[in-house]
Amino acid sequence: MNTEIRFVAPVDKSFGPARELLCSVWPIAGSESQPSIGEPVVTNAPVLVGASTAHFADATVELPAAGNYLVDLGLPNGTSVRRVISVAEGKQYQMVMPSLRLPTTDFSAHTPRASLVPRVISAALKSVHLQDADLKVKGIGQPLAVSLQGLREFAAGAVAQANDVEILHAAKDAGLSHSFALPDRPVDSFRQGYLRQWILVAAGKRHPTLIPYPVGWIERDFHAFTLAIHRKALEGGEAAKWSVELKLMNPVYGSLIEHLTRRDLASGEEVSRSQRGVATQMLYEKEDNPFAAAVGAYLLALGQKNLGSQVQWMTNLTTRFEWLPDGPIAAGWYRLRIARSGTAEWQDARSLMLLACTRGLPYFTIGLHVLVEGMTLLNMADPEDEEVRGALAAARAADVACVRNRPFTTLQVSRFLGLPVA
Amino acid sequence: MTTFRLDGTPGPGTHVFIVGVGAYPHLKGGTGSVNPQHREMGQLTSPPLSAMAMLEWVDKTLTNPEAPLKSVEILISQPTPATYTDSTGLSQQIAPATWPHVRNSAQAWKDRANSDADNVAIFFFCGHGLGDGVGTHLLLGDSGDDPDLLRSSLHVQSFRLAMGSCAAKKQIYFVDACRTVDLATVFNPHQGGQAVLQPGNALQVFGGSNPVLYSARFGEPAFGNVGEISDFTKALLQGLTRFAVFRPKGNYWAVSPHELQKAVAALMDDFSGKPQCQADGISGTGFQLHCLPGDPDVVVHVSLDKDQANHIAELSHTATGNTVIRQDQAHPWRTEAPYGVCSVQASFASPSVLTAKTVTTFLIPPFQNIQLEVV
Repeated sequence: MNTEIRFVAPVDKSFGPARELLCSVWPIAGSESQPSIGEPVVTNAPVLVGASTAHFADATVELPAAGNYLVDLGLPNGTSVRRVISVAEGKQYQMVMPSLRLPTTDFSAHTPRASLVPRVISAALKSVHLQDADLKVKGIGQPLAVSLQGLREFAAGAVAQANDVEILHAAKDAGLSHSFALPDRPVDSFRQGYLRQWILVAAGKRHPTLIPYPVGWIERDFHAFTLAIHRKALEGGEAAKWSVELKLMNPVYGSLIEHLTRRDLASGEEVSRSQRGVATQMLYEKEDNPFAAAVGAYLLALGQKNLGSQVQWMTNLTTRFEWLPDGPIAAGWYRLRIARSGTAEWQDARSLMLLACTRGLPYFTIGLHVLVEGMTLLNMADPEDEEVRGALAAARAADVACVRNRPFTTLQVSRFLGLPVA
Repeated sequence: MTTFRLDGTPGPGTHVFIVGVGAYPHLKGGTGSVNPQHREMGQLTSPPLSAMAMLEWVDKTLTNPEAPLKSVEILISQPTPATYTDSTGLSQQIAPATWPHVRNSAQAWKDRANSDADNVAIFFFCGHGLGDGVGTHLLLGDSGDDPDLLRSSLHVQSFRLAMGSCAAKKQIYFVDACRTVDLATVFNPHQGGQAVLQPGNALQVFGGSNPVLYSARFGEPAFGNVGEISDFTKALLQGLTRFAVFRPKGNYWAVSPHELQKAVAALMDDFSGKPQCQADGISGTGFQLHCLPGDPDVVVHVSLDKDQANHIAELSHTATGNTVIRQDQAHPWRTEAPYGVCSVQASFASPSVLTAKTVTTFLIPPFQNIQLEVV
């Protein structure tokens, strides 16, 4: 056997979905009284932790020899784990990640996948059947384009909507923590006839949360998304306040989006450049997955490189998926980045950012932040531009009402509707 | 404007802009006409001390061969004007941190930093702050003079965006202020906050590294004892001086924004599980802010895996032949030890039969967490 380290998740499920961690390993050399750190064995190498499918497996790092090593693992949420380990010749050292929190109630673990097919029920039946539920998760369609300026009206309507809602999940006693897999929903085409959908999570009509749902994102070996829901108390005012997170289960893109949400581009690029990153990207391209393409577009747009022919690829993302706000946001930011105010590129950026606003709330939180920053720059350059001012106000209101550290935009509806009118 | 250590020689340099606001004539307890919208914000004693401590550190300690100190722009608002004599013997009264002074000083700072792409630009603010749900407004000394409370405030995000067109590719912002949010009175979707800097003819997306380190979590207050340097500034100065280092070229220790964030977070950790020292824009390999003359120290958090064993445990650590014993019952125990090998142990008062295996580890700055297993 090789002398190596194997990285594994804790058994209590607190680690969450499998993720790519960035691993650096240094040998500790010298005497005990005069120790020193040698040249790193690996630096920021992506290692997969928490995976258990045929396609993805827990990672190992091979070591050159037995000895003492300093191991540093960077997590996608920005924290890190650092440990000194001793590894014997020809042995595998198993490094278990520390438990992150108490285990959640994982309903998908106890329920066969087939029973997760959602039901569409009428309002009347819903009112009887789910009268006592303290957690309801609904799927809501969006028949027409909803711009950022129209988001207020749409959100208010979605909360009140009784017909044509799809109950994805309901629980009478949901406990403090709750998680379940969302149904996979293939689509015929992302390019024609695609309709945006949303997830609405609430205790009755109190403190609802709206999330744009990337319907059509499918994984081969597992459900694409899990909804993780938590609250602070079972009784009192806090009991109705669910904290919601849409989690992408793909380890590569899940990690990538989490790095991007913190604007940690360097870590995001490490993950995307890895063998698994490149392979996953190729698979998504083959499947014509526009959401994954948007993640790639953000990575390119926010980076420092001149994109050359990839600009056309970003343009295609904008024109081929006419419902996707994230494409024009990434393309617009890139144009702002390569030129100064007053140039033709900034005019293009203005058009793209305004186009994104007509398409509504972006799918990714990083996109919403970039949209606000881009529009703010445009507004600084020309404070008299009324169209930009109006769109910026709408984007700012949405940004204030979205949870900042969630990878997917997560709109707290009560907070949003309580804001001064944009 | 008040400027110290001005050096006009060509080549990269470090340019610092420090703002400390303690006297607010138009807020609660102020000497002027008090704005009725003061929101219980009043006079502060900590920010002038914090700003002065930062000035003293920059003037006397900051060492960066890649970008030596080339200017310090400073404004302090306190009841009587502050004065300072720098290490070259220049003595000056420091101008107050009001809107006109901040506007002029910010522009001068930006212009100097703009002189070379390898310049390092450092911004430090200590005073009142307010969150608007997205960004943070920093209240200057004349806040409240206008009926609009935020008329004389600097909006961190807008200021940083306006600095995008500055040539200096290494920028860092230290924001020591509350970030509490009251959307009903502060948030206006049609007003994004003031950049202070004039946008000029050319705006640009920033192409370098420009992280912001905050003293408070989003939506929460910052802390400091009356008459003392603020908690964040204390941790910041400790991090800069002792802990927040990496080895850029293998033979010396240098402070970087990344390590600074980790060090300040570890020094301010209240062990509630919530992260400290929120940062925005920490990415990549970072850059060199300051070089240490010798080896660094490491912030160490020691805990027992069984809380109930804490009250009878004597915790200690031994490094380079010196043993340090915990003096109180703090758990986790925040301590510090020199870089290198360190053993951490616990002993239990008789007649307890508990034991804990000693942990021997190699401490690398800025921070190490050690848990002892009690059996």
